[in-house]
Amino acid sequence: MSHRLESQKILKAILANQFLLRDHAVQRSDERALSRQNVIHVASTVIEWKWQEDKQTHWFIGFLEEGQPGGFTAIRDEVEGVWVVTLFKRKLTRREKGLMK
Amino acid sequence: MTRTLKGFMNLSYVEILHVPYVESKQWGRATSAEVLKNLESQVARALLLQRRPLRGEEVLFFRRILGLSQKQLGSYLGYSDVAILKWERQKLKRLDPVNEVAFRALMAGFFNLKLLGTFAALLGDERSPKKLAVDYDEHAKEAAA
Repeated sequence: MSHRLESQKILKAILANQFLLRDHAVQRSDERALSRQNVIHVASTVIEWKWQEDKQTHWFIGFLEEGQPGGFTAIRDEVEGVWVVTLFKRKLTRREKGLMK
Repeated sequence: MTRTLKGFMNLSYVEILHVPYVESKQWGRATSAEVLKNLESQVARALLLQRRPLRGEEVLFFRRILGLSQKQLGSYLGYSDVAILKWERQKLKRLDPVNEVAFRALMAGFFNLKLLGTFAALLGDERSPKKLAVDYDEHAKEAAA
């Protein structure tokens, strides 16, 4: 299956609240004051996506409720479904700012 | 498989028993979003019903689980986003009584809880127990019933 199709399936599952939040992601979300709701919000506002060959995960960037950019990485397996690996806040690159316009 | 979660969403005094989880060799342990959603709701309801004093960390907890921005939460209460930011930064400082009552009443609305509408009933009780223990199994049984 192509990575693009896979990423669309991941987003669809996240928007339906059907995903697993890894313990690592829960820990990071506590440190960064993020939550499960933020993952869903980012998924609904994704502006950039890529497949990370080195980490073998999908990387998504969108927006948090405050309008601040945020993102998460996720992977889908056939047994358990979508795993959210980690989540983060970040600054937009110049190119990503251009995508917003 | 189940486990006990301590310090749920940075609330150090919360302990949740019998939380189901999934484990894989590659990705380690994980909790499903549906379980987390139920846990969030259970803890929130317990905080409101047990009349726990509301401090900055509880404000942040409620805002996180509802997915509200500081601006949105502020607008519900008639405050600016900066005011909410100040509350959240002072994690262990209790809100002023008027703000605590307003906040509890607002949150009760979000969670469809019918609390007595008097000032005394909505104000937190200092004597509430230190630990907040929640059993996920009980919620699952209630949901099944």
